[in-house]
Amino acid sequence: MDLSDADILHVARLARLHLTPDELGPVRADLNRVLAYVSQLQKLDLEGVRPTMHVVETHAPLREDRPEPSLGIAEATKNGPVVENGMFLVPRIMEGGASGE
Amino acid sequence: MSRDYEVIVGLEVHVELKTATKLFCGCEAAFGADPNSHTCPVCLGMPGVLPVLNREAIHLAVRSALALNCEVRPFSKFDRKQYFYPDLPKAYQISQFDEPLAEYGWVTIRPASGEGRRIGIRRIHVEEDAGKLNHLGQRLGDATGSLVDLNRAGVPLIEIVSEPDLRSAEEARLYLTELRAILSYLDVSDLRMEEGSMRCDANVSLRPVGYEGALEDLSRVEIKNVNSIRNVQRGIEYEVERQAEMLLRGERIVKETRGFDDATGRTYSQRSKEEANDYRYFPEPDLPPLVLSAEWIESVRQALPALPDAIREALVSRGIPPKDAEVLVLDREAYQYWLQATERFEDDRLVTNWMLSDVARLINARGESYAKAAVGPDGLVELLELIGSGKISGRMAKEVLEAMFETGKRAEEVVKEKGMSQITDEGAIRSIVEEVLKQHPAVIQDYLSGKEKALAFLVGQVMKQTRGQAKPDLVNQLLKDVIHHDYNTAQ
Ligand SMILES: [Zn+2]
Repeated sequence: MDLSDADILHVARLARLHLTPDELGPVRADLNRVLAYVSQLQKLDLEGVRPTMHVVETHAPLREDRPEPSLGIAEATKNGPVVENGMFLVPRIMEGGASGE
Repeated sequence: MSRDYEVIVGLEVHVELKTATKLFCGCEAAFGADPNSHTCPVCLGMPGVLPVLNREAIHLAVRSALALNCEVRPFSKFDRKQYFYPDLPKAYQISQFDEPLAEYGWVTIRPASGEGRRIGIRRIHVEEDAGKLNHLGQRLGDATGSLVDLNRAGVPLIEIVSEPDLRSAEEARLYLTELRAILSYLDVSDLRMEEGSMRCDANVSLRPVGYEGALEDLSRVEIKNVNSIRNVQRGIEYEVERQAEMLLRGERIVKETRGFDDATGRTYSQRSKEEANDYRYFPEPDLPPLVLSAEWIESVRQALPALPDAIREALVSRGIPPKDAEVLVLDREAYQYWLQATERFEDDRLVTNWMLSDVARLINARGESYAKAAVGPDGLVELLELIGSGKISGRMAKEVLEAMFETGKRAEEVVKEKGMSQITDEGAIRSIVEEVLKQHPAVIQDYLSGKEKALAFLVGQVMKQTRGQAKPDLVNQLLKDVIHHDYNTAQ
């Protein structure tokens, strides 16, 4: 399987990476090498083998529903480049940006 | 216009679970706190932190799933759903993709015409909510920027995905109404659509008659984030008309996401769905699978409360007309009010009639709810007891109830203050007068032949019947009126 330039641009867009035309070729070559390496797994016969969801055979511990102190507004917003009224100010959101739930 | 298509609707309902803390951290989940006051490194999406599942969130999710007739998976897993948006600090949402908590449930709806119909529930999964954006500007389109509040980020949600079984906007309304009623009895969520603790997306498509392909291949329009059941219905109605007109003109319906404008009742295009959604789900490496034992699931099932269908049956078997029962069932607070009142007062139907007419009218007019009504079930029962004992007539009781709502005073107090402790209601006294006269024809003859004392005897009889509470001069007057009108001419 070989990725095309269009594939690379699509994946880069999803990851918000801005590739210059110069970078496109090398990135494509690198990614194709990674895929070729991983594709060795396709040779395994996995008939009847359950997918590995997690590397450790364990299950999720559950926490009691008891509130713990939060950070506080000042501490929580300290890393924000611009903070207004205790909230992070972000630039205007462009229509078409992916949203979801 | 010929309707040679069928309406296909599926609903995705997000419900915020009523837990004390968030899904993966100990921050409080409460609505309405100062922006960003309920945040910590986990829900801010800081590197190096680990999510730990909230037991109560899983409990409430399983409770909901069982009440909606779902099969709960003994083994489910969490996945990362990835997208960039300022309300999502990690740039992924922890959700469940291919092994959700529960599947294969249903809700029964009862269209006015015809039989009850089961609407399938495809799946219920657990996920975290995103933060809240406050746009600086009228609309997102012309906002200069947005303020991010992450109090809601990480609040536990369940998403309830129906099968595309709904065939009209009205069926969608019935489904949502029933779903909300069921969830309200479970007490798993605040269910306030205007505050966003219950949100609905509607997928609407039209299937031309004779179409034999898969439903998934029809061009589907998703109406996002509508804030009331009524508006979901309006949005679907509009969308059906819009798509029908497009089909009639031979146009292709574009698969897209649309918003709903409350003011105009129309949907509007937000973005094309074909290119936007590429969430690249993969298993959440920070959370091992969720394993639930059959015994624990069974114990949650055993603890389920009475649900709307069982309550409907119980009400009807106690002689409540189905239409009234429906009103009580769909409002859990009304039903609880009714339960408390009928526990103290034996006439179920009288309680129901008073609640659904006068109490409901006053509650609505005053913007109250049954749970916070100025006159609670005990107050209503005291009023009904005054009617029962003959102290006041039904007509007077309406006036007393209004005063009770206004002043917060008890029925007896109002009656005393208003000087209603005697019966001044003419209709009530007249019927007693007529009854007394029927029993004493000989005394009437005495009176008509001139014995004034005979009248005093009749007055005494009426007063006895009303336990001394009838207004005497009114009784006097009425006795004379009735005798002259009904008995004198017979001579
Ligand atoms: Zn937190």
